[in-house]
Amino acid sequence: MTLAPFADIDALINLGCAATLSNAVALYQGGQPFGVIFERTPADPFSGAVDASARTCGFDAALAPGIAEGHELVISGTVFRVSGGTEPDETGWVQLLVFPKN
Amino acid sequence: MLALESILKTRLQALPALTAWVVRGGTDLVDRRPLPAAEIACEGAAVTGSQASGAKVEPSWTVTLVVRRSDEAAGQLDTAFAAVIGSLHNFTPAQVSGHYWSALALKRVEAPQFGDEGVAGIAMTFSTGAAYLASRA
Repeated sequence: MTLAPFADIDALINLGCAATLSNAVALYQGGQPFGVIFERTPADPFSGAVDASARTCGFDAALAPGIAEGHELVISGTVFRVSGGTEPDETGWVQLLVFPKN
Repeated sequence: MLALESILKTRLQALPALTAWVVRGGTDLVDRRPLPAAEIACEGAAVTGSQASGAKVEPSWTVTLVVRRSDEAAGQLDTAFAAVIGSLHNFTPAQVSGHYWSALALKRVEAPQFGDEGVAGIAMTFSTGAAYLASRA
């Protein structure tokens, strides 16, 4: 009997999410391109002194092994840097905060 | 009181350290996406004396410095931070809109923020004061 009976199901769900909901293609350290769910939300940090956007990028963490805060991720041709933690959830899905490098 | 904004903005715009910066006022209707940027805004005022003859008003003016987040962001902010304090601390606006304002004094510096939106910044607050006299009915 396996000690993680739902791991395969979790992986299948993550695969299905990526296959159906991905809206951008990412590249990490020159590896194979993979689909990500990329979202952009308007934000006004510093009490509205700046008009900016918060960006998140979700995917199966196994597709970018070793990714950490400060690393670069190319999304749809634009170089982004990872801000904040990179720990995946219990299914292996990771939701990263990213911002444009330039 | 709000007339101070343009005076302080003009003073910051003249700083060599902010030559490449967008300097704007909190009341300006402008695009707030360009960076690096320095924004000066009134954050309210304390009333430190109030009598029948008038009131002493001490507004707080906050200068927010914002740059794109990068490995150089802290250095950029540090340089601008020193320039802004050098320019505004102990600066006396004198008479503005009929009121004599005391010298600005640096009162508070907020914790720097290196945000997930890809911007980094720091804000500092100065205060000044003036007497507003009651009109005789």
